[in-house]
Amino acid sequence: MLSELKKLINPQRVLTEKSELYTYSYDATRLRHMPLAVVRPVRREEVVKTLKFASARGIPVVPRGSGTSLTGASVPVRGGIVLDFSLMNRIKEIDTKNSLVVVEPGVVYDELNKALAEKGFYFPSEPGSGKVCTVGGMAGTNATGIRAVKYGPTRDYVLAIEVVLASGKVLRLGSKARTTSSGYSIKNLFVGSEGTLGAFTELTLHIVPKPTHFSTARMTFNSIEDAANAVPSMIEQGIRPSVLEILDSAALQTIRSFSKVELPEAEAMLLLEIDGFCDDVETEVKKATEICKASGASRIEYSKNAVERDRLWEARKAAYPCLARRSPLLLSEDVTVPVSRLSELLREIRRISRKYRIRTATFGHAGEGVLHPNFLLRDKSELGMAKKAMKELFITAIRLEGTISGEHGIGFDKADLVGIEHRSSLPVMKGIKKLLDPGNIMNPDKVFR
Amino acid sequence: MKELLAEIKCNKCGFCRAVCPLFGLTRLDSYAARGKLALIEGVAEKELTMKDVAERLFQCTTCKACWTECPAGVEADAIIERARAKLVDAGVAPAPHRRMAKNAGDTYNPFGELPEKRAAWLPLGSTPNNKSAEVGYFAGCFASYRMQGVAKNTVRILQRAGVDFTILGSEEYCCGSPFLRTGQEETAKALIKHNIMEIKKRKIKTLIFSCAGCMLTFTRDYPAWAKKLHIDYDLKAVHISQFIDRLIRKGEIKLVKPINETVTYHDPCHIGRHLGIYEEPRNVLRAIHGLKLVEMEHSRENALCCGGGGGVRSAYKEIADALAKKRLEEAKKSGAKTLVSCCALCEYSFIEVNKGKGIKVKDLTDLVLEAMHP
Repeated sequence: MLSELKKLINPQRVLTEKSELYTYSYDATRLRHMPLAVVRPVRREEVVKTLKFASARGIPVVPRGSGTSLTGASVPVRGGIVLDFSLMNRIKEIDTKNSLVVVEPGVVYDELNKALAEKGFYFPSEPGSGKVCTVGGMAGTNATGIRAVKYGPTRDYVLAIEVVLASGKVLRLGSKARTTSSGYSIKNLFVGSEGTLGAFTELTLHIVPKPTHFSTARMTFNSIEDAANAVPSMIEQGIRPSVLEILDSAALQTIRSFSKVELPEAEAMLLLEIDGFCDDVETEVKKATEICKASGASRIEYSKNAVERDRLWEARKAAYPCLARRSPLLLSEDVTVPVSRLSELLREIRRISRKYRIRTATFGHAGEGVLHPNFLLRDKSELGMAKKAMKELFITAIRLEGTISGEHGIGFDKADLVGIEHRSSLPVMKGIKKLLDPGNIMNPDKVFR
Repeated sequence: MKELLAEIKCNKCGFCRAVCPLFGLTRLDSYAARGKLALIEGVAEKELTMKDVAERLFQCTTCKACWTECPAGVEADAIIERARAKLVDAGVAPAPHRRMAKNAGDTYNPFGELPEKRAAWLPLGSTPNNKSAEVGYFAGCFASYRMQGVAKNTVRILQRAGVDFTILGSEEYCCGSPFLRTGQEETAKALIKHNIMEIKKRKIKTLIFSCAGCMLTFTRDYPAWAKKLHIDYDLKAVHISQFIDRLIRKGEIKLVKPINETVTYHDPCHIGRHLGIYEEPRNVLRAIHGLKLVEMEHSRENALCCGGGGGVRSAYKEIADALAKKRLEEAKKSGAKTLVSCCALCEYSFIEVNKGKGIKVKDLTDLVLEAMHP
């Protein structure tokens, strides 16, 4: 059967050796499953041929960018063919007059921004895995990042897509126009569908001018509630941060122990940044820190230049590496709530951590209500308990009028729980899936089962 | 491979893909540290065989770039070296590596060159030879047999600075680096033991190196091996760039002749990321009047690899050449007319693909010696 596939696609780009397949059996979760083959397309026609081949035989197909998913979304849990988009990585067009870029899905986020920076433009939101993740993967999960509080999620930037359905049919959805009132937005349905409805072969993305001015402040608090409550106060008073991050005491303690970053003793920290194109950013930051002071900030440090800015950023940048060093068995979640309920969510994380006796350290994009409670497991024996803790955490996030995933997606790990959040819309989702992928070959068992 | 599992604290984030030079060429995870560590896990868990994974695990230059991006601080190069030792035991090492080991057994260098010709580079009439001295110079295989100019320069600089030094002459054996990096520990062991005894015989306290690989091996591996072999070992390893930097600062050599040239400096991985020697070579270049030093897009901790290390050059020349070309392209883009380094292997790798065209490739000692004239 695979020899037939090798007749359709350049055999050098159809991988079947066991060792090669093994390196497509994982992503950034603990989940593993071997694919049957890997196809590395370089153009749309090869994606079409692969999907027609798979459809005719009922073989599952899993689109894959860089395999950085934190939910098992890119693991071929039912075997089948992995479509590795790493070689479809051309930037086809940079159109600064219309502030858009046309790219193939395998373009790496940072590489795109490197090309855009030369023209003074920027593709925002900055996911934590930006150095390696692909824009196809970002659109697949509707990823956000550290600057999403100002710039919003990936979906807001996807103007048009070219997508290949399971049948091999090619759809071109959206246009280069910034806005449309024309018909159902099918394009938006594909963004965030995690490869369960089709495979992207081209994306047209809106881009923005790269900010030139940044003003940064780092604030410490003696209570995590005070830090959390400062966030809605700032938003309510019209502050528009480009970064607003929170770190709890466990995260701060871990940074102190596993890095050389100098940090004042505190129960919580907020990192605030406002970007723009003139010196007004400093006035705005001053205004924001006054609000934080009134909310109980015990110490406030401002950046006066680029070196100072780097120093203030150090702790936040060190958070994930330090946690990864402390516990190689680290499970990072992305529960998200309205910012006014952040302090409740933080309290619940602590309660759940104590109840299940699982160590946690939390940081997150407070400005958009995304928290990353990191479950720091001592060994695999704690996995079962951690799963129970997570389930309780997800139910809590929904109770607090939030969502079980703010940016990582559902993937395989949370597919059993999606019905809790989407009680009324799950049947609609299933109907759409059946319509677009009647043979259920596109990334099966992901998003829902 | 099972005992390596405890050391593999990789959380599979894939951040190493951003910097791995081999991943950059292929865009295949099996070339990046994440993939290679997964392959080791696959063997440990009996899902893969040694033979399945051998080629990929030997396709790593041990440049350590992955470590700079790894959130968990995993030193994949060290784990890969240990895995290679197991692959060697299983008889699945690449044939060129086995040939290198055979050569070392017969001639004490990986090339199979005659041992009596090892010190043939010594300038006539200048024989700091086999006497005892506190300072020694260890030329290494590349400077002894392939890049003799580097060894000659070094001796001239030391002589003109009035340093009382010695060499091991034809008793200098390969430092063992090519064998430690490729998992051939038994071959390395004999070479290391011999070199330690010869160094002791000459009462050398400080040993100077022209090659980044020798420097790393003497700094990191020799103390551990001396302990294993129950030999007292008290030797200070110094790279030639560090030694010259010190000579300039003490005023023991004077760089009087201006060199009006724009140069860029290539950080060899084995003294750069592995040992943190970034500033000393640059200090030396900055001390030369008229010389303009420009940096490449990737420098210091982020420097791109020359492609020659870790046994890749000997077994997979096409990969080594592709990486050397990439680095040379970057050097050209920097606006420099000359690429300077201080590792005979790196320079040899560049010269091989450069073929005298494009940018000039020089050793740090070429420029120092020129600046010392008249």
